[in-house]
Amino acid sequence: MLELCEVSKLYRRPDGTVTALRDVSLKLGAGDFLAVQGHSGSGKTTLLLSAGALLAPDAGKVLLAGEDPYALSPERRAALRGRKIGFVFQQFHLVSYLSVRENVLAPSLAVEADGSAARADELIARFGLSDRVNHLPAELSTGERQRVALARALLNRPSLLLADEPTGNLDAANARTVLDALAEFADAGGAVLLVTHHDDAAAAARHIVRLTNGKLEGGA
Amino acid sequence: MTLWRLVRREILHRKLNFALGVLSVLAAAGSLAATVTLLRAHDLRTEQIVSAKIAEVNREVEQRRQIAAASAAELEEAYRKIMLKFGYNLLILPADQSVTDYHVGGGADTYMPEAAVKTLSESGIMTVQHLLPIVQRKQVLVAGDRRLEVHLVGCRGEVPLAHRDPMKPLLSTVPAGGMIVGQEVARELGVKPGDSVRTLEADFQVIKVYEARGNQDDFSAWIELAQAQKLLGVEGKITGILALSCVCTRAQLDEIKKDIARILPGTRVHTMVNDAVIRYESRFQAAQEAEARKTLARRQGDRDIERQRESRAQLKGEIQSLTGWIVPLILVGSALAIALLALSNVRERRREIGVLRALGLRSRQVFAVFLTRAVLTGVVGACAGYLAGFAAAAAWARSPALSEIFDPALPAIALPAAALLAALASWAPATLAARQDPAVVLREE
Repeated sequence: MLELCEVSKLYRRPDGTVTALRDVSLKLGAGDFLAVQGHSGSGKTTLLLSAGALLAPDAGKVLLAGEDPYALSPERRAALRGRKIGFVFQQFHLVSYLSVRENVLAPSLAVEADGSAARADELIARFGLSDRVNHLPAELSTGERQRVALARALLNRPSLLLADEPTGNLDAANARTVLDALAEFADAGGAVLLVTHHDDAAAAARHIVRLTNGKLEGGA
Repeated sequence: MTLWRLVRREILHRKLNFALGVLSVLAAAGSLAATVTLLRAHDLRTEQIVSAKIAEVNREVEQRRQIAAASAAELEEAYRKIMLKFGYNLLILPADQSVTDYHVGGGADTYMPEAAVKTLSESGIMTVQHLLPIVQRKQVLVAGDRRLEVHLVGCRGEVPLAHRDPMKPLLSTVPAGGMIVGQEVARELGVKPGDSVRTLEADFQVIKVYEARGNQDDFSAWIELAQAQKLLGVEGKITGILALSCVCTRAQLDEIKKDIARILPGTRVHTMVNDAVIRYESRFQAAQEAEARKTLARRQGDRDIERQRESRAQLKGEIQSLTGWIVPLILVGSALAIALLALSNVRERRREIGVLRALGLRSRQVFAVFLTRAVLTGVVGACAGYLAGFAAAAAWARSPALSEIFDPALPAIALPAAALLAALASWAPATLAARQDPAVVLREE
């Protein structure tokens, strides 16, 4: 599903070059749920973005469903992203002026698929948001917002779910709901890459690796 | 979910930004609509003013034409009457008679046979209407103890022209023993109708006093021709014939004179220019003057119209030159405002763009979102601007007929032009949004 082969990523700044990822290799297949743990600045988000076809590595290769997204044109890469990947962010990143239902449906702007509306309603019901369908994000609790973000990530039935500190702003109960959902996704045959510095969150994964100064320790 | 829905929801969410964008387009479209409408209203007003002026000039010219026509008609009528009454007097005298002596001396010293008048009347001359044989000489009239030298004229009624129906005599017939006197004669002698006057050792009764004529007639006295011939000892002779013609012009007089000279050899024909001719001349002049004034009024009117047109054209030029730089300035200002607002919108939605791109939206879709928003801003702003500009211009021009100043081409052009303006102004910010790297935004968390 997802394969990173000796991926390196450098950030060049006026005060010097920062190595965010150093020869990172990992492989995720159907049903895998991998947690990457690391401190702030260890390169977790860079890893997630590179894996998500959003940030081209300086070296190494990323394969998504056997295809190198960075070898594609930006437009085709975006399409691939829309079809194959679901994102869950710590800050949720819901569109502030769209309702719950519209936010869940937002990925359908990228991938035209029949039954998007029904799928959205199904996910909304599954995450207990049916009574919040027409609410704006500002009218929701943080837990509800993250559930909306989860529903949005799952709309296009992706094969890979990339979660960046999805429980960082949640209480224990809501965090559990999210982690259960990720595990459920993996159980259903999807692949999950979770980056977090919380041990509790990482514990929900089937495999855990540690990222220290851009270097992966523990292998996956 | 569609991009259109996304655009609509965003506009409703960020009303102020959209309203400011609309306001910018409104200013541009409004100023353009107001300018074009004002110029159109100005053109219409010019047409109205010029049309009114043309109508006024036409009225004035028509009035003058009517005056000229009336003068001409009056002249014609007067001429007809005058010529009927007086005609061009032709005096036929023996060839060796001095005209000066005849007039100044008060009479003639040569004679022609009275039969000449019969010859002339039977000649068939068409232009002469009346023939009056006369004997004229200076004589003293006595009334009581007063004496006065007068022109004594022996005359008889008109000699009918043989070739036409008898006409009413032009001069009164004086019966034998009767006398008609001129105004001055009556005043100097102190006589009135019924009084007795003596001359040539014969008594005459005044039967009529002519009103003052201001000429020799005022010092004349008329008696019956045969009696005058007898008293003067010139029976069968006359001193001259007055031939009074009518319905002829001065140009025809030479022809008439030639005719008479042919019919009556040994005579000379003299033209007696009288009051009628003078009046004819003056009225002819009046008619010519009226015609000249009519022409002058037309020329003056045409000049006024031209001046009015030039003045309005100059005013229009001033408006055009003023709006020629104000409108483009407003357009540029509006475009800048739209661009800045679009840029502000892009910056405000930076994270949203990043997330949408992460969700799989292509950069062209992002570009379309911002461009659609811009076009919508342009269309709404253009509609509102056109209505506002048109209403303001109509109110300013005080034009009651809105349909006349409404130009359907203007909204048809203004709407797409405003949409294009907004789209062009938003092009760079939309491109910026489309090129935004989602990874940069997501890494900023």
